[in-house]
Amino acid sequence: MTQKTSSTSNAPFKPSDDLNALLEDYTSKLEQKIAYESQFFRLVADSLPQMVWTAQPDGVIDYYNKQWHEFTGLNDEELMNNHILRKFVHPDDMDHTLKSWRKSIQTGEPMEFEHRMRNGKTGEYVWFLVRGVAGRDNNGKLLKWFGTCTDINDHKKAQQKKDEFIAIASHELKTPVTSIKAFTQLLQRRLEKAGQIEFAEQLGKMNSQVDKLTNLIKDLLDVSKIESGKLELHPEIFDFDEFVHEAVENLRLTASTHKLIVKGKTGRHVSADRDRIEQVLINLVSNGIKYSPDSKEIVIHLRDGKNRVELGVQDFGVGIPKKDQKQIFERFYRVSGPALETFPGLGLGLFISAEIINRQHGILWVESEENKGSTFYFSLPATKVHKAFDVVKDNGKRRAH
Amino acid sequence: MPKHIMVADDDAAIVEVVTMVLEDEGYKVSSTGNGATVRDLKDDLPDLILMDIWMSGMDGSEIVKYLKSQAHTKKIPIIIFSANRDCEAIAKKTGADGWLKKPFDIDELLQKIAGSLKK
Repeated sequence: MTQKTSSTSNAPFKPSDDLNALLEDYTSKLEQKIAYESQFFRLVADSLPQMVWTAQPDGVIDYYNKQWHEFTGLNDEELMNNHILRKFVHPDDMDHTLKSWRKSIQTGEPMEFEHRMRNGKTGEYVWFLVRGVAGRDNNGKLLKWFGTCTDINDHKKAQQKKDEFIAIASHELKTPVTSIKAFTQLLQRRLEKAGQIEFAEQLGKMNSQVDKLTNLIKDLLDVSKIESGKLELHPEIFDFDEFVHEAVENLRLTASTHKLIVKGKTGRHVSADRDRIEQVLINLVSNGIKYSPDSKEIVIHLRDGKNRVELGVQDFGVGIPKKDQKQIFERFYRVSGPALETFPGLGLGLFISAEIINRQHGILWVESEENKGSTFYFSLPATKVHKAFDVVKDNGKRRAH
Repeated sequence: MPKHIMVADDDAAIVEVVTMVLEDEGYKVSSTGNGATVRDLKDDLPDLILMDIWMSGMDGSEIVKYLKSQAHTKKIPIIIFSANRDCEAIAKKTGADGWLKKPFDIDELLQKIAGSLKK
């Protein structure tokens, strides 16, 4: 340390010398500390199985750990001089990679996405989970990005295998079900013709069980499609009220225990996948019937929301406890009855329905009270129909929307 | 003369049951489990073809497109059936005259066949 300065001292006053010395000393210690911490950070980063990177606040990468060299086959200088994203990221993953990256750089929010990168040595693409967080000073100013790329290839491959397996299994299951159903119906027809009505009716029951099995297979296939992002939608424009009345009419053919009542109207068209929306309606009505074994009716409410159509399926059954209301849209979740008995089903219907509605810019929600019943609602954006087609018959009158 | 329907599916049980259903209705039925047989049809042309879109070794979509491009077969109505949910889209894309999702109801099968034969 340098000598003390004092106004009473006889020594010449040289504040700058002292301050410089102090500063030099402080800087040197700080540099040592930084060098140590930097070395420590590199040691930790190199010991991790992940590929670690850091970037400046504007997103320019300024550090790659040892695992990057091994994966890309490039040295530090080559890594710094190459546009790593463009050189190594799979072309199909480039779009969402850039979008997620830019969004985080602009907002400072943590980044998390998955993409494939090409192994520089083998040429094979490997799946990575990319995560990054912003390091900030005490005032909240963003100083640096710290991130990792974790190899999730085995997990992804296993997931793909599982999805492929479910898709093939569902297809393979449908083949024998097709012939079982056809043989059942053939026998039923032959017995009816021969006047053996009792046997024919038993075969009718068998046929409806085959239908249940078919629906379970369809649900499994849908879930595998949702998981692998392959659920295709074929939107078309249709009159929503007409569609609901038709679908409910079909449901009445099979719903023998409950009366289905439609109340209200939307007076609107929607642009959506008709089959899939019907699937949601069937699911909600079937659930309503299943969970209200002691009641005799289901009410389907139609409402005109602001630029949206709203549909509610109300039952007067067991209801859903508050604590369970969020979870019911999760996969494999099933509600128990009052005596904790379990209702049949795989617990996939609402998960699939929510996905179908969400994918078409809609919302699915529930209002429910225990022992009083539940109403499941969904809303979809309404579509304006071209004037030439904008006239529908309504109670014999013609009116324009 | 009973109408002649060709049933093509690589699942023997489905061919068997569909044949029985159609014969009960008075149709003449020929069948095959091989896509190439359908593609190479020359003599004794059927009045309607009912075929699975996913037969082993053959792409059913290509067979439909090929039959619809040939002078001697292009007027034969083709109904495809498939366990694929996008059956309707496939029918529209290939030019097939009808489609049926597996598993199907016999009534629906007979209605579609009768409808296509009338056209």
